[in-house]
Amino acid sequence: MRADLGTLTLAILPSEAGERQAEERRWITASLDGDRDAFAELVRRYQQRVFRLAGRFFRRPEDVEEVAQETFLTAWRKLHTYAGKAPFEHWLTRVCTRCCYARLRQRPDPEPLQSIDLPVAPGDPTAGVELERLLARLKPADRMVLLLLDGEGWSTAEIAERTGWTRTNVKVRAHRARARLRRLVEEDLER
Amino acid sequence: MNCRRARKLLTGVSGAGSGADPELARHLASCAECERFAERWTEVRDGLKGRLTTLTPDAGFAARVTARLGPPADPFVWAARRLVPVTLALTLVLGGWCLLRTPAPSSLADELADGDLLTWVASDEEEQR
Ligand SMILES: [Zn+2]
Repeated sequence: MRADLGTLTLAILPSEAGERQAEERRWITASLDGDRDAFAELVRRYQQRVFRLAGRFFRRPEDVEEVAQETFLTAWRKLHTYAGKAPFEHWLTRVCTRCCYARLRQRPDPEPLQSIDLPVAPGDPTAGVELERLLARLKPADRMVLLLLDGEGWSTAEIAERTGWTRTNVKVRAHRARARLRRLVEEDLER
Repeated sequence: MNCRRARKLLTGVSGAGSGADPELARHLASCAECERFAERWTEVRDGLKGRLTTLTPDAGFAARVTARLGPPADPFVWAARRLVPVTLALTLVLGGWCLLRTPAPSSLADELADGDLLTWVASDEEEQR
């Protein structure tokens, strides 16, 4: 019985995934022909994923919403460049990562600390504010690479693929970003 | 081990990683400043991991996006996508028509090579005299 259920599950799952993919392909094709309703379906399917990634970089809800909108608007404009070889989600993640970076660069000192609802660490109520101060003193590229490595847990290869930087470039940036952060922590401790 | 080396190991900047390095452990046990640094660094790394603005898109998000949509794809690419079949058909029709109406340049070249052309011009001049 157990074995039968296992077989049944295996039989259903691939077909469901296939159906999901086929549906997605239809939405993409229709979107390329200008069908906004089909594109809205793509938005609804991936909006949570995009909000989550944007939430890594931005603390104010209006920034997260704005960069999420920008991601989908860029996806709409650039949809003809999606070759369909990798999953659409991967392509959209790349678009979102680049939109986040563009916004970080536009606004190097993005958020006034008092406007952010910062999480309070159980041990130290000032830890969240201290972290934001440190991050605000890093260059956008350093902030980006640290939040992707330590926050999102992406590998060097994943960051390279999604940012368009080379792997060597990502490694160098990560090394420099950690070194800068180390110096900032040391400066804070010396005060 | 000096403090500089210890901190590079702690932050992974040396590329070696700190994982259970006995020499580093000895240094941390004997150096209060590096021990404080190690604690602070752990807090910062944990802070980076946990730094996430959890926000759920509301029901109107997709509508707000579609309200801002411009023409699909890059207008030129989109227009090109649309115009490619038409342009191709027109080129084929016009090309075929031209081929039927006009001798191909290569056949003209066969008929009148440079030398022949000069002979023809010269003979014409003689006739006019
Ligand atoms: Zn030390």
